[in-house]
This record gives sequence, C-alpha cells and structure tokens, in this order.
Amino acid sequence: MEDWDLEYVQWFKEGREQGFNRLVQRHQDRVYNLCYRMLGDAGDAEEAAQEAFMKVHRGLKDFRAEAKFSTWLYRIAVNVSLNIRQSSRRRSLREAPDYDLESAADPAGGPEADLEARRQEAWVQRGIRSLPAEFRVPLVLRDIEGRDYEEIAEITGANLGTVRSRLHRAREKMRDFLAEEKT
Amino acid sequence: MSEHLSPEALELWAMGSADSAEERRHLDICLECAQDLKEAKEYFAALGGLPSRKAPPGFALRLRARLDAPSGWRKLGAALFFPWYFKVPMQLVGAALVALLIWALPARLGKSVPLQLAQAENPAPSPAPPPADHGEMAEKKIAPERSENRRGKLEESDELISPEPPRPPVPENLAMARGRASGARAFSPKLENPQSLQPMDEPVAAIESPSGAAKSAASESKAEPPASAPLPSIMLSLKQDSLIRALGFRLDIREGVVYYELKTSKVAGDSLATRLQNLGLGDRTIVYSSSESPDSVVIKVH
Repeated sequence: MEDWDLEYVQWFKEGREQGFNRLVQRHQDRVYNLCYRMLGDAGDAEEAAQEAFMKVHRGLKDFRAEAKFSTWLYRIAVNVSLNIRQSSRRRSLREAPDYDLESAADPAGGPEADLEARRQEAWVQRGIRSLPAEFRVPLVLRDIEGRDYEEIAEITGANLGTVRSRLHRAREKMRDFLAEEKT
Repeated sequence: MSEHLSPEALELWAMGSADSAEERRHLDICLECAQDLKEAKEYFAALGGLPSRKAPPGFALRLRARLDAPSGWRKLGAALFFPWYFKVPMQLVGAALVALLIWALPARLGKSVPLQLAQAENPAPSPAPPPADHGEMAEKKIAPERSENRRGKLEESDELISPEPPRPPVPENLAMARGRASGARAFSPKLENPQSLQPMDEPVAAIESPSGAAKSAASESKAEPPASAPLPSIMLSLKQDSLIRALGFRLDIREGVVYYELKTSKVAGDSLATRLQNLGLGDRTIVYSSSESPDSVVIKVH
C-alpha cells in the first residue's frame, strides 16, 4: 500500500498531477474520518481535510520519503485539525453536540437501531471532544484509527513513553466519561 | 504470573488479539485484572462501534477547485502587473513622478528658508545682552513680526518680548501699598489708561516693610511719569518675563508697560528686590499692592 503512495508521489514530482489525485482518492476517507473524530463537526472536518491536502500539495515536491506518506499526511491532518479546533472552540462550546443526521449508520437494523446507533456515536463523540488535545490525538489515532504506537509517536512528535502515558490517561478519562454518562 | 496485566496486554485481550496462556491463567485467578478487562472491552466496544466516516461527495472536486484557484499573492500580482505591457510602464512613470516630487520638494523648501532668515535678520538687531542702559534698550526695540516668527525659540534664548494684543481690563480691586499704609487712597489700575497709575518711588522698599512703604510716599511724584509724556518702550526679555511670572502672572501689556500681579508670599523679604535688581529691572519697576488682596502686589515694568 505504501509502495503505491510512493509511486504516486513520484508521479507528482515528475509533473503528473494525476499522482496527487490518486493520493487524494486513496486517503480522503481516512483523513476525513480522522478530522471528524478530532473535531466532531462535519463542516469543520471537511475544511480540515481539504486544508491538509492543500498543504500536502504544496509540500509534496519536497517530500523525501523519510517517513511513510500516510504518517506525514496524518501529522498534517492532526495539526490542521488542532488549529481549526482552536479557532472554532468558541462556536463549539455554544453549539449542541453534532448528531449529524446524514451519518452513515447502518440502517439494516431498522429505524430504532439506527437511531440508537446515532445516539451512541454522539455520546462517544461528546466524550472525545471533552478530552484535551494532548489526550484526544493519541486516543483517536490508536483506538479509532488503529495506528500503532510508533506511528503515533511519529505523528505527534512525542516519544513512545509519552504516547503510552497520554493514551493511558486518555482512556481513563474516556472511561470515566462513559461511566458517568451511563449512570 | 504474579503481576497484574499491563494496559497494553489488557488492550490486546480486549481487542481479541492476545493468546498468551500465562496471561489467560492470570485473568482466571485475578479478579482485579478481570474487572479491568471487562471495562476495557466495554470501552473498545463503545469506540469500536463508531462508524467510519467517509469524505462527503464532491470532496475531491472541491479540493481541486481550491487548488486551481489563484492564491492571494497571484491575485495581487495579476491585479498589479497584468497586462504587463500596459501596467508596468504606467508604474514606472508613476514611480518617476514620485521620485521627482520627493526630489523637488526639499529643493523648493531649501530655497525659501534663506529668504525667511534674511527677512527676519534684516530689520532687527541681534538679541540684546542683559539690559544695562535703558535708553539703548529702548532703541533696540524688536518689531512684533520678528518676535512672532521666532517664538518657538524664545524659551531657550534671551529674546526680547514685544507687547501683546490687548487683554480684558484687570479687576479693580487693587490699591497702592502707600494708600493702604496711609488709609488715604485706593489703587484701581485702570489698564485701559495705564498712565493713571500712581507709582511708588521706592517700590521694592514698599514690599520689604511697611516703613519702607511709608518712606516711599515722600518721593511719589518724582517716580511717576508725566501723564502726557509717552511711555518708554518696553525692552523686557522673555527670560526676565518668565522669572517674574514665576512669582505670579502677567496682567497686561499696554503701550510698552507690563503689569504683573505677584503673590506676596512669594516675594516676602527682600527676594523681590533682589530678583528685580538681578534682572536689571530694579529702577524700571514700580510696585503697588492691593487693599482688597493683601496677599498680592502689582508691579509695573516700563
């Protein structure tokens, strides 16, 4: 998979814009999902994802494959999301949690199951949004995106011990939130 | 295995990707780790149940549109330089005009400065030294125009001041010191007609002590200028003026005579006499005092 990324990066460096388009097609859903989990808002998530890809487009010629392309892309997306979250913090504090009725909940279980799934998602998302950024980033990357610890350390620029420690704290806080909400 | 499972091991067990028999046995006998595993499973079930969000339709198209849109700098560059064959020459001409203006403006200002200086220096003599001879000082009267032109520098120099425009009349609540001492005459300096003032012949002594005031009454007529005679021109430097005004304030300037009202608390003892002497104004000053305002005196400098 990473080989294809490097291939498309090479296309782009050779002047073929198609290489960038392929990279977008391959990663847009994961980047969007990461931004959505970080921000909890569909509009902000698209804005962040587009901004991340635009930064990638600007810097792709200088990308030297010292890290995996996806790691580099995720690092940019995380940083953009954090910046966007800071700018929209005031608004998000005023607004109700984003239930996003157009979400892709599985309608197979019927309307009631669909509604319950959406409530569950909104509940968890509210817990994620309640976390400070230093805890939210490793939690989203590990427990939602499934990235390994080394890659999270590379994305966040923290060492492995710090990542483990923050993730442990993030999970504790998240469990406390879920337990509190459940009661 | 005696130690509890690490968070990473619990995570693997909660996600169903652990297969250590030793850890399995520990979980069977350790209620604490079993409870932790249960909570971890609930946690991962909650987070794992989150659906994977997909990018909204048209995401790539909107991204492409943003990438293809000219940046702010490009827009600015296009606005400034496109079409270059028209805008660049126009900008060069504009820059040349601005440069010409910048060059020409100081040149014109530089021409006018010597003219002003020449006009200012031509009719009037140089600033006078501290007055020693009243007659000579009177001849060196500076024209009002000169004084106004160089007013900005007057504080630092010992420039001479000229009479100012007329001011409102002074309240008529003043009486001469001699009049107060004898109880005979009250002083009302009608500054519309300053020659009506009745000066003291030894004004400084009048301030110094009541006996001096009484003594000065004898030579009153000697010090008073003739009513019909023209007053001498005032030659009072700004330094002299400011030093006197430090004791009070200037009342008026009329026909070459300056009137000041001073606080007696500031001129007690011989300080006024000393100051006036030091300023070279000892014999050009007439001192009055107010019957209604005993804490102030009026001096007339001619």
